Amino acid sequence: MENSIAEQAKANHNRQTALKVAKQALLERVQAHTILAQDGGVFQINEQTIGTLKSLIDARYENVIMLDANKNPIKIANPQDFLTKAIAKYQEALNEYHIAYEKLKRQRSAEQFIDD
Amino acid sequence: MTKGVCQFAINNNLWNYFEFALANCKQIKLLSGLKTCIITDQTSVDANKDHPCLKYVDDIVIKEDLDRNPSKRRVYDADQDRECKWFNWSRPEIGDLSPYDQTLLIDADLMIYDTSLFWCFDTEYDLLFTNQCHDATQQDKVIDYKRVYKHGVPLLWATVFYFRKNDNSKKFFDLWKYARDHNNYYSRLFNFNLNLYRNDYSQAVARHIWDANTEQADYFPNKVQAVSDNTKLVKINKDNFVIAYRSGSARFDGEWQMLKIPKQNIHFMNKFDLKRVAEDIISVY
Repeated sequence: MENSIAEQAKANHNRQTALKVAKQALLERVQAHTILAQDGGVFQINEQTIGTLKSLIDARYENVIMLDANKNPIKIANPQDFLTKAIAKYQEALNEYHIAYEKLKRQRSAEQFIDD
Repeated sequence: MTKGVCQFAINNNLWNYFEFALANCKQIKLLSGLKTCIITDQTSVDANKDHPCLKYVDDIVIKEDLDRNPSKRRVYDADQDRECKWFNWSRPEIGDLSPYDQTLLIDADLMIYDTSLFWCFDTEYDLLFTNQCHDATQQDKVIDYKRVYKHGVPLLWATVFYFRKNDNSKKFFDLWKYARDHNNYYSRLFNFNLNLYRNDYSQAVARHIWDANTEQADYFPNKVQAVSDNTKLVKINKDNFVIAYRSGSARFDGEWQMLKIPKQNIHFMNKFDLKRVAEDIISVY
């Protein structure tokens, strides 16, 4: 049964569809890999988190309060340290995504798609 | 304060669940060094007493009455189906069974490939639920519900759950056990299927009561990445899985297509594929 299913899937391989579905799977991984615990809360790191944090630091706010993923207010003890960790986490996840996506784009045949 | 990951794993007539859990313990230990615990019965332990991955397990908790009420369910391997016993009755007792102060409870069929859940140990949350599941095939043919029943209580996924032992979490566990013990009543009240006891449902009901019928609770931002049981694993590569899935609108409809999922924490609903994945983890790394 397994070989038969694999052969059928291989014969029906549609590069555009496969790329679209694989891209979404990679994006889901980015989401999972950009979650960071800080000062008791949990944050989904994205452009908004980084931008808000950077704005608050630049405006020299003494008490930086941010809403975490569950909308709980969290006082950030060391905003600069959090920003550094957040940027590192975000870039690491996007770098993984970039590498995997570039590889995916080069896989033109069903054989390449399966084997790499 | 002790921290660790717990899994329930009771072998049944089809699968060696204990071995699935061992594969996960190996991953958890190598990725994070966290403590690992398997809650099981003596038969499952005896069946794996010489397993090479036992060295990755810190604690084994034996709970013999786990099978007080074994459910029966149909399980699928792509187009084929079989019936098996499903031992899941004791899950709400995790508050008493876990040897750790902070516990991440995962299903033995959620294969761990990264550390993206372990941040929970660095928070101040007492309880974290999972309310998001993503069908990796993006078809939502099987995993398409957000509530236990249309217009009913919001569904939770007991696949991933975190708690800190204290009075607050104890109150929740008392409710969870109550919801389980009165599954018959709640299935009528909230209109869900009684034929199969599901911890997802009893946990959702308990949370619903606990939060005074609101949807306010604290959740994992993570989605459970799931591959449904109408798919077939084609190949395990170094960085990804290649999976065949049906492209039609119904569960067993349409032509087979291929999907590639990067290696990340994945809930395999096709346990025949899960066996291959667990064997790969045990042998390759």
